[in-house]
Amino acid sequence: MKKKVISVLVAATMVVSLFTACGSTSKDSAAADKTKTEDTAEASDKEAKDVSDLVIGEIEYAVVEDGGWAQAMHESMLAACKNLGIDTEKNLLTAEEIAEEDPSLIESTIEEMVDNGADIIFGCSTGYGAVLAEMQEEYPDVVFAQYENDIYENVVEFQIRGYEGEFLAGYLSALMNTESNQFGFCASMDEASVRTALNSYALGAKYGNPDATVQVLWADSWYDLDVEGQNAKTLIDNGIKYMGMEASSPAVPQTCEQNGAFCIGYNINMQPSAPKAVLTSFTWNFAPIFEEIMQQTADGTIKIDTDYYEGGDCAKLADFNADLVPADVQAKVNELKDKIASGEVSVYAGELKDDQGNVLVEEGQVMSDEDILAQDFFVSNVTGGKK
Amino acid sequence: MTLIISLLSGALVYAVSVMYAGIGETFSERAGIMNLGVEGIMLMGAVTGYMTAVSTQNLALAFLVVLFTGAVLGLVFAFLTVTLQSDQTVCGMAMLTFGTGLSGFLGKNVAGVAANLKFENIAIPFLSDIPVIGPILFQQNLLVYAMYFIVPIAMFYIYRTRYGLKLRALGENPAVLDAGGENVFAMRYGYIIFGSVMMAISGACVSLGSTNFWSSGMTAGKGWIAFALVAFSSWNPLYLTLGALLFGFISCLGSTLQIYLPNVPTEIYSALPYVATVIAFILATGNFRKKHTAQPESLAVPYDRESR
Amino acid sequence: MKIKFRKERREKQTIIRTILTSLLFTVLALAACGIIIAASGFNPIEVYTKMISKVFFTGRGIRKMLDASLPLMLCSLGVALTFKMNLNNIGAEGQYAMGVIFGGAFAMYGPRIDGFAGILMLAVCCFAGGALWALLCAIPRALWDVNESITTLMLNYIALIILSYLCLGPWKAAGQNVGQTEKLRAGLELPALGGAKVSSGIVIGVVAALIIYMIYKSTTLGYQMSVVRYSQGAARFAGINIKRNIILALVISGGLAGLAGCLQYAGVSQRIMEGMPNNAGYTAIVIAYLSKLNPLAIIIVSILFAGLQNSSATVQVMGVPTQIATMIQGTIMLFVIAGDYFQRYRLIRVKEVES
Repeated sequence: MKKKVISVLVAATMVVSLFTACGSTSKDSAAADKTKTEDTAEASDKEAKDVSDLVIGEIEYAVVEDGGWAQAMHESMLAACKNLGIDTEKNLLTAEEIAEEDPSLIESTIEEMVDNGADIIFGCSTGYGAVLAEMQEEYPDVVFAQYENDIYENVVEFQIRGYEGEFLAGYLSALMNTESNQFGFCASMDEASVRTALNSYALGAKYGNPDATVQVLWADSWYDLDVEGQNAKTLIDNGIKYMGMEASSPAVPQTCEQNGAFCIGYNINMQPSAPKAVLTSFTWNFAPIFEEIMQQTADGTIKIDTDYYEGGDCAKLADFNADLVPADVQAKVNELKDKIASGEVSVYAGELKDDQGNVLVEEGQVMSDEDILAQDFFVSNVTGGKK
Repeated sequence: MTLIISLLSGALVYAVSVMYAGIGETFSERAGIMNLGVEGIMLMGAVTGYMTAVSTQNLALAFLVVLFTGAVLGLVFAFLTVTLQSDQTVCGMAMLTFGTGLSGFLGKNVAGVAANLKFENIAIPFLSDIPVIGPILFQQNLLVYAMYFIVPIAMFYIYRTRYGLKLRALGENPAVLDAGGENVFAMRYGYIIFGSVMMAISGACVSLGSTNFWSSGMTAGKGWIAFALVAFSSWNPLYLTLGALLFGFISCLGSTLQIYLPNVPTEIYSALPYVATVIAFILATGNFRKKHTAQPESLAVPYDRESR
Repeated sequence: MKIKFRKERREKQTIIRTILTSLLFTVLALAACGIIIAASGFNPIEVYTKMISKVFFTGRGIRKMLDASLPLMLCSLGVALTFKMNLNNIGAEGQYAMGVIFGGAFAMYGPRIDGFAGILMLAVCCFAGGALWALLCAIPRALWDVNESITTLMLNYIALIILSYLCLGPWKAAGQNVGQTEKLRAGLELPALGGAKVSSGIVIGVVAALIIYMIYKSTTLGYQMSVVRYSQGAARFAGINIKRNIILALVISGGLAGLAGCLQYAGVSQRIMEGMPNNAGYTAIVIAYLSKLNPLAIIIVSILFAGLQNSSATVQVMGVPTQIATMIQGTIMLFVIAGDYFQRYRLIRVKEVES
């Protein structure tokens, strides 16, 4: 009995002590609160405001130096803010490691950002959509923007035609790989976005070499250095010298470097991690989209059901590794990039078959955006796709 | 043949990266202290080593810093668990949380920065030319080679020396040692610090060995695997080696099986190492006939002179 | 002349001393973290003020804290039950996942029963899922003395792989690109507590804690468990069926972790997500120990812990890096554990003349 009382009290004292710590400084907090209310009052008064005064909330699932997705997002965010003159020290509120599985924490984060005067809140990973859509109803004055949501109408949606860049990556690999028709791909988990990367890489390789086949190996984890590295090694041992990847660590490039193979980096420019293996990297550049959302929010012209779905410079390859990629190959890839931009070449153009032999797109047709976004197929030259 | 070589050498590299931590934990637990903070200490070792490598470009110095980090964390853990006799489970979890946070914080500036400095693979002349065995065993990095010596030395130390005898007694019945005039506290401090240093080296295996970069939380559960392998091995470094190799081999096998047995959900391959470990563990340690347990009798029990 | 200290075991632990010691060490922990915060360029007092006022003194903060505490509370009650018998169940994470899987299967393929009966059946399924997963470790432990900490830990990974396979594969919501299932149908949702917007799961959590407290205090099972804890030999001598108790403790413990999944699924998230347990099973271990395995203390400590975790949002929006928020959690744990020593012992200064 005594033990119980004591332990309850241990816990209780923790609270009490927290309270005392706070009581001593209640003056400060009152002052802080006051300035805050003034801020928000000001914000709701004006319809349009100067874009450099915007307060931006950014929710990331990992740390922004993760060497992968979150880093690409954050760099885009910083670039957009810089171009619009937004002070990132003061007006960019970044919350990292907000687990997509933890609705309480996501909500706390959003409310905290709103309290700090956020005008826009960006959910920078796929899993925030449901919570954002719910919170939008509670805070109609705040613009909520979510990466890759196809469901919620009250949230701005933004995504990138990543398949354009991966298509170029596949094409580049095909141009470089003059000895064999075999290509590799190291994938993380079986999700639509990952299938998109894989399929468009395979289509790009096929565009450069009609006989190209792509062997995919799955890590079944979003982050596992050992499995990613071993997958790359296994591909190399099976005679594959060129590979694409959809993984967040430099384990694949570094394995390639050690074994004399080559790969296309993913998410961010991975050349520094493996300068002798990375031909170029597929990078996400959200900055133009972010800028537009921010500008329209400031002007008060934004529509919350807008869907941004951009290609071109948003889904580009990083600078070529000049030591590895000859100038004529670079020129050819750039040429293809222009052809995609002009609409002359379309990545998911018919006739397109899946790996079971079913026709996905008829000759002369092009796949719809909905089908591209929710890819649940593997194109015909992928081997090792999930069943 | 290249496939088998690649599989086994992959298994070896994986095994070594958890074995440093595993052997560290073995000594720590043999001394009666359960350290659940393996992952946190590994991350701290990984980050401090990598930071030093980036800023000084001196591998030896980086390695010394790793050792030092391990020692400091070990000292803290020893102070809490031996001197203050705090609960080892919570201390371990606190160490884990603290190490994860601190390593991420320290590493902010080197995340994504290339050090281009690591323990390179060195082919040992003559030995590396032996078919099959050569490329597997003798084209590795220094950390792997060192492990070839550490395992037999650890075995010899634990089972064949006077110190090893005392170490085993320390985990079984510290009061007897104390009565015999040994300084139980100092010994526990020593073994905890040694264990912690080894865990930090495990971290260096990840950031300066098989791969060469830093990112927050990069050990991704290896510390827990090391922890599990210790009990799996019945606190015996040789069995630990076998367990780590088995685990590494089955993890690596998944990649190959995806190519040769393509019509199986690949998640089965990811689950395979864990399933195999559980089954092997039950078969190896379950006492289906006789009664015995290898677990140190006083594991996780703080030693207090007054209450002996 | 040297000054030395000698420790002396305190004969009895008074409540006042407990309060003062805990107070002192919490403040010390915050002070230590304050140094870290200040070193990274922020005003620690401002950070703490915001953190505490937001989490503990706003209606919203309290609501979020209570919601977030649910899985922690249930998992923690479960693991504490096994720790009471010197069994190390590190598998709450996996048992939680398995509970959610069973619950999801019921919600998707089971009979369409809504309302109280439906929720009850959902809860039973979740409990059964967790219990079954724990049973896989309980049998080898009871019959062949196989160390349960390894088997439960390994089964965590397996359960999470199965969960992620289901969420990304057969159970994925139509049109979603992310590993989530469809929303739970409204008839199975736990109602929110009248007007407070807090999931009624909190009531279930508290009731569960009380029931377990009663089991400890006034049932034969509770008595037998405490005997097994202190001496297996004595237990065997007293004719207690140790094997049965081991299995029972692990199964109930797993069931509670599964129930945690139920409360999160039906009460908070309404969807099953890949990686849903989100470390609750591991945090539960810390909470159980900090609460000294006492079910009533677990209620409070898990609520506080949830608040601490939620405060990371507040701290980060101020610009403090997330890693600092994690470090604060670790430091508070370390200090509170260390403080325990001074509850048990007193240090007495001894003067010694050098010879």
